[in-house]
This record gives sequence, structure tokens and C-alpha cells, in this order.
Amino acid sequence: MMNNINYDNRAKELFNTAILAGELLAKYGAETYRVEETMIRILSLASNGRGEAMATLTGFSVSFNNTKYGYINAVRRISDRRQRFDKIILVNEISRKLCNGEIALSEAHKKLEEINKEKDKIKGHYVAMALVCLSFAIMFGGGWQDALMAAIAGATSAVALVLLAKNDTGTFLSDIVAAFFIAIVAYIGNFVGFSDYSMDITIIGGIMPLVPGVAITNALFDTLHGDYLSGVTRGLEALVVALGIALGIFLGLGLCEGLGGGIL
Amino acid sequence: MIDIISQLLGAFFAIFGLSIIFSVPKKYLWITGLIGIVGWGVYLLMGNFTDSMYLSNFVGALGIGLSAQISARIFKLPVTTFTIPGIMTLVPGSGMYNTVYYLIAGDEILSREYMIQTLLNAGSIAIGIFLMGTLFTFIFSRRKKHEYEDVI
Repeated sequence: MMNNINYDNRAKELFNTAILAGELLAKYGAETYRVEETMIRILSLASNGRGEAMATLTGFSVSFNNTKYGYINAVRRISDRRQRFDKIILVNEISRKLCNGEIALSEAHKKLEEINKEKDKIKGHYVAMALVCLSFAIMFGGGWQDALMAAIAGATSAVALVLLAKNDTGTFLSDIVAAFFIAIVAYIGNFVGFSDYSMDITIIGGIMPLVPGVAITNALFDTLHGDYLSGVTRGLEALVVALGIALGIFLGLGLCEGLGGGIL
Repeated sequence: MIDIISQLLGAFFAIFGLSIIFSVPKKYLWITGLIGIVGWGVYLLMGNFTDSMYLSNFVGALGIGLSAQISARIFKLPVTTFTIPGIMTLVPGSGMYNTVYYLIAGDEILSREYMIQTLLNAGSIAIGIFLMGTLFTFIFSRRKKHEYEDVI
């Protein structure tokens, strides 16, 4: 039956643009209310229809009630998420320009398609990870030995994460592996001959880029904002990430202590 | 004094690096780093007045919220571009890790203690950012309400 309905082209393109904008925002880690608001705003450009959107962390559904053709619905599942502010800023700008009438609908749609096709660049992430771990180790009161080992641990975990991401390993497993390597590097630091070395500071510094601090804070933030469903899902996400990291560190230290006790 | 300066520099470069990982556009990396210094600086400063970690986190989050809201309005960007990297020094990521680590290690009492601490810390930061955001939208509410009336 649905195939027989010939939608108004403009309504169709408007709907597609709204979905694409929402999908990009959700995928690149925008807040739930921004995903919903952007889609509703784009859909409200139609003079003869009304749009409504409902988003959570793992997907959204959006419906558009056109007085001529009835309801159009779409559901999108967001499984692969990462935080990318440059993309959020671009999508936000396109949607703002579209709603202010500064660019045409077809142009906005084309620009969003371009953003969607663009491949992610991860150049420089290894250095950034090492820098972050080094800085956190210093912030937590570590000396230069701790900072150095934390930087090495961070870079190692970054390499592991990138290699695992290429093979489409789930986040839970890749967190375990990354934390495992951090624990091993931190344990090795005990035997390099540093005079003033703290393994705990190295481990905490090393895992800082991975731990779900922002996720748990965002969970409470979303809950305060009234997005209860999103708050719960973010809280669960934080718990699962923390579980992965803790398991990885636990396994890594257990292995090292087992081996170290036998050999050294 | 040297200790405090090295900690503040640590906060700056930690946020700077995290902003690179989060793909914040290059010209704003310095701003997010400076917001990180504000957050950690206020947190350290509050340590002189109170023993409560939660109050320090709350006031630190207020400082981050204020500087992030101002930067977002100057550069016309979504405010989360500045708040999320900014709060990275305060957020209880290690607390979350410790909660689960001690649960696995079999120390349930310590795990529970860390869990309560983590939730309260995350709550204080969220409320700080939330309050500042509400205050700014209240003052600068230029947003038009959307109407969803069918025209045809």
C-alpha cells in the first residue's frame, strides 16, 4: 500500500534531511535534546505538516504528519558512536542556516551528505593520548617517571584501540584489551630502575582517556534535563565501560604478578 | 607554589589533548585548555575554604559553566564544545573505575564507598553546569518558541 503513495518531493527531501542531520548528531555524540530539537526544527519548516522526534542514546524515531499524505515514520539505530565536536558544529551550522532561510533545502541536504561520506581522521591521536596521560599523571601529583610511563601506557592503549577498531571489535572488548596493556606497561615500570615510581599513579593517568567520567556526568545531566530514558542508558553505558577497564587492569596485573612472582 | 603551577599546566595539556581526541576545531583548542585551567584552579582554590569534595566540584563546575557559556556566545558554537572537554579534569572517571575494580577484587565496602562518592561528585558537577546553563538561557532568552500548527 505504501508504495502506491507518491509523496510530495519537497516533503520527502525535508524528511530525509531531518533524518540525516539527526543521525549525524547522534552518531557524533551530541546531546539527546539537540538531536531531537534539530530534527523538529527542520521538519517545522514544512507549512503543511508537523514533525515530532524522540531520541535516546542508541537510536531515534521521527515522525512527520503531512496533512496531504498522512504519517511518514522512520527509525534509526545508532550503534557506532564517538565524540566529534567538529562534525556537531558543522551540522549545527547547516541546520541553523537552513532554518533561517540562508541556504536552500537541496543545498543543506547535499552538505549533510558530504559530511556523512567524509572519513574519520585519527592522525595525531597517539600523540594526543600520550599527552593526556602524561598531563593527568602530573595533575595527580606524579613525578616525571610516572608521567613518562603513563605517556607510554597511553600511546600503547591508543595503538591497541585503533587496531581493534579496524576489526570492528565491540567497545567492551576493546576497553578490556586497552586497559590490559596499560596495566602491563605500568607493571614494567617497576623494573626499569626508577628511584621514585608509583604504579598506581601511572595506571590512573593511563586510563584517564578511557574512563567514563563524562558519561556518568552526562547521565545525571540528562536526568536533570528531563530525558530520563537517556539518563538511564548513559548511566548503564558508563557502568559497562568502567567494568571493561577494571577487568582489563585486573587481568593485566594478575598476569604480571603471577609471572613476576615466578620469574623475578 | 611550583606544585600548583605544574598541576595547572597538567590540567591545561590534559584538556588540550582530550580536545584533539574529541576533534574540537584547532583554533579553539587553547580556549578549552584555558577552561580546564579555570575548572581545576577553582577546585584547588576551594580546597582552602572547605573540606567537602562535592562543594569544590560544584563551584568548579560553576566556573567551567560560566567560562564555557561566555566562550560559546563569543564564538557562536554549541556550548558542549567547551563544557565537555572542560569538565574532564573534575569528572569522577577514576571513581567509576575504582567502584568496579574493588567490586571485582572482592572489597564490597570500599566499592560501595567509591560508588556513592562517584554519584555525588557527578551530581554536583551536573548541577553546576545545569544551573549555569539555565541562568544564561534565562538572561539571554532570544529563542523563539516553535509552533506546530498545521497551516493547510
